Amino acid sequence: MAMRGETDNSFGPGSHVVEIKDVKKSFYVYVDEGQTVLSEKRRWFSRKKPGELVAIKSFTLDVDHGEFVALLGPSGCGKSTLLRILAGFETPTSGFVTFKGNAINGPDPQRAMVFQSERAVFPWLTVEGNIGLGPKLQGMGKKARKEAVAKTIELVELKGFERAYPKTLSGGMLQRVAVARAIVNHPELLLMDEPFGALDAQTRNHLQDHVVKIWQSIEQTIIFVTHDIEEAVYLANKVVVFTARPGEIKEVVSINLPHPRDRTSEEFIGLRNHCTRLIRDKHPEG
Amino acid sequence: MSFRAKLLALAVLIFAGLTINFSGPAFAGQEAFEKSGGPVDTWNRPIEKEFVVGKDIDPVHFVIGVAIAMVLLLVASNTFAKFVPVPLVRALTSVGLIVIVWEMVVYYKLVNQVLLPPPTTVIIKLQGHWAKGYLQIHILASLKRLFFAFFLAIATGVPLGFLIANFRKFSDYVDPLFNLMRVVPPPAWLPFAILWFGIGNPPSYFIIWLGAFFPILLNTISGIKDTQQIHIESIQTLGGSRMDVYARVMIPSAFPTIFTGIRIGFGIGWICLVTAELVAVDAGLGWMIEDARNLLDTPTVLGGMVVIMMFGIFFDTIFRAAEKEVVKWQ
Repeated sequence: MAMRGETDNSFGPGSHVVEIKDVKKSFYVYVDEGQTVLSEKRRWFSRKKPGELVAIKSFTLDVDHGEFVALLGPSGCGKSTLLRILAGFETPTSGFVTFKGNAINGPDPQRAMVFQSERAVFPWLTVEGNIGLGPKLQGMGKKARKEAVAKTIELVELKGFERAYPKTLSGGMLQRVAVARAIVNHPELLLMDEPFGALDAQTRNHLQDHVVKIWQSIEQTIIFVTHDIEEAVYLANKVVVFTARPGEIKEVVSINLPHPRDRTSEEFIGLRNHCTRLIRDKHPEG
Repeated sequence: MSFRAKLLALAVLIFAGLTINFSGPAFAGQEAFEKSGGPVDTWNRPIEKEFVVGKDIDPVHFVIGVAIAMVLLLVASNTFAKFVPVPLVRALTSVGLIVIVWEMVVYYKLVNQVLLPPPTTVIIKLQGHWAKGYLQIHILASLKRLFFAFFLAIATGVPLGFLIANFRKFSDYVDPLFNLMRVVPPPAWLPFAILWFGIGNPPSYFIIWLGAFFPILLNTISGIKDTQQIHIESIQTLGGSRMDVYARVMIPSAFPTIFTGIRIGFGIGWICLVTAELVAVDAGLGWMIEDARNLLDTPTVLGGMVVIMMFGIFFDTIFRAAEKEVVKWQ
């Protein structure tokens, strides 16, 4: 497990960017004759009984500065929920999560999030407007903003589309806008929730290389949620494999292959197969 | 300045001009009639009762002229297809045909010309009213009323819709009241509007406001409620405050829906305007029609209807063009 060092609430060199300790997250739902209904409301005279859906049972993980962590698991295992807790959209039912030594309460531009759907890009703003909004909200001046936006657009290779509205762009380009929008603020932590899940394989591979390039160029911490085993092994240097719901850590796989990684190399395939076995089997080898 | 900004500035200027500069007294019509002299009725208004077909325009020439214009238009649409929009040509063709048939049935005395005044008579009548300055007064009186009430409707409908969509408790209390009011047709409020607001402009403001307010309110509510959660979370993760969520996400994403509500509201306001002017005022297109009806001046009645039609189409076209520009991103 990735437990290293003692609990230290002051953020300094050597301590972790993110500390997740015994986090449990459950949702209050209504259960109707054995069927779970995800709803906070209860209709009058309904036979539904209040129940609890445990998304994450107990989760402990530390993430260091500059790490690229992939949260890998079957769908519904609570990995997205954990990411939403880190982003500040949800609060854990018990346990605590700290970011740079401070408890997380609410969303913060230092913990930028890239959403699963490319619809998260604001359709009423141009590419430039979308990317420039973050710095604008941070109170950056017009000139500095323009520079930062131009630099980021170059980084995600969207030059020539600055004035385009999102409806004219493809899914892959939109996701690049979403990534650019998140990184333009230079967040300490970049959270990515299956950002390439809806794209075709070729575009996905291309964007994965983009993410690696961005990660290497601006040296930030990335936590990346995915259910694609190859994607996790290709990108991350630490793959956290989840069990099925309720989510728990099954194993943390360190990947020390240098970038760019060769998908056909023996080591890569070995690690991939290892992760596949972890996810598929209830009891992995040994 | 971008095209959109120019368009918006122009619209604001026109609307502001109409609401402020041309705001004459509510009884502007009577003043004008008093100035004009000539034979007057008990209300001190000039009496005009000539219904001569073809006094200035020969019906035969008129029909031939319209027919030639139609043929030319069709030829032009075939030859210069790029420059002449085909749907427009087709629309004008069907209107032209109706005008020709209408003129002919009266010319051949198939129907009584008082019951159906022919286009030529209507044109002459309108020309006469324009020359004497009556028509302008009525048009301006109507527009002024319309724009004032219309802006009142926007100024109340959009903020209220925003509050109802965002604040559950507020909506629970206020929404039922508006729903109760909404199902009553605005003209049914007329008697009380006059009792409460007196004679003159205020009751018609109230009626027009009622007509324009509800489409604006409802569209604002549904537009704001349709804001996607992912957009709200996106701006939060970019460092947006609650105000940023309102101003930078909810309003822009709801804007196309709100604008459609404004366009529909304007149309209904225009309908309510004419209804409201049938009583309690002394100028305006609705009043002009009502007054002409009392004198059995059917060409003026029809002329008033034609003017209302023209303005209705004109404003609708402007609103549609503006809408297209505003929702360019969709």
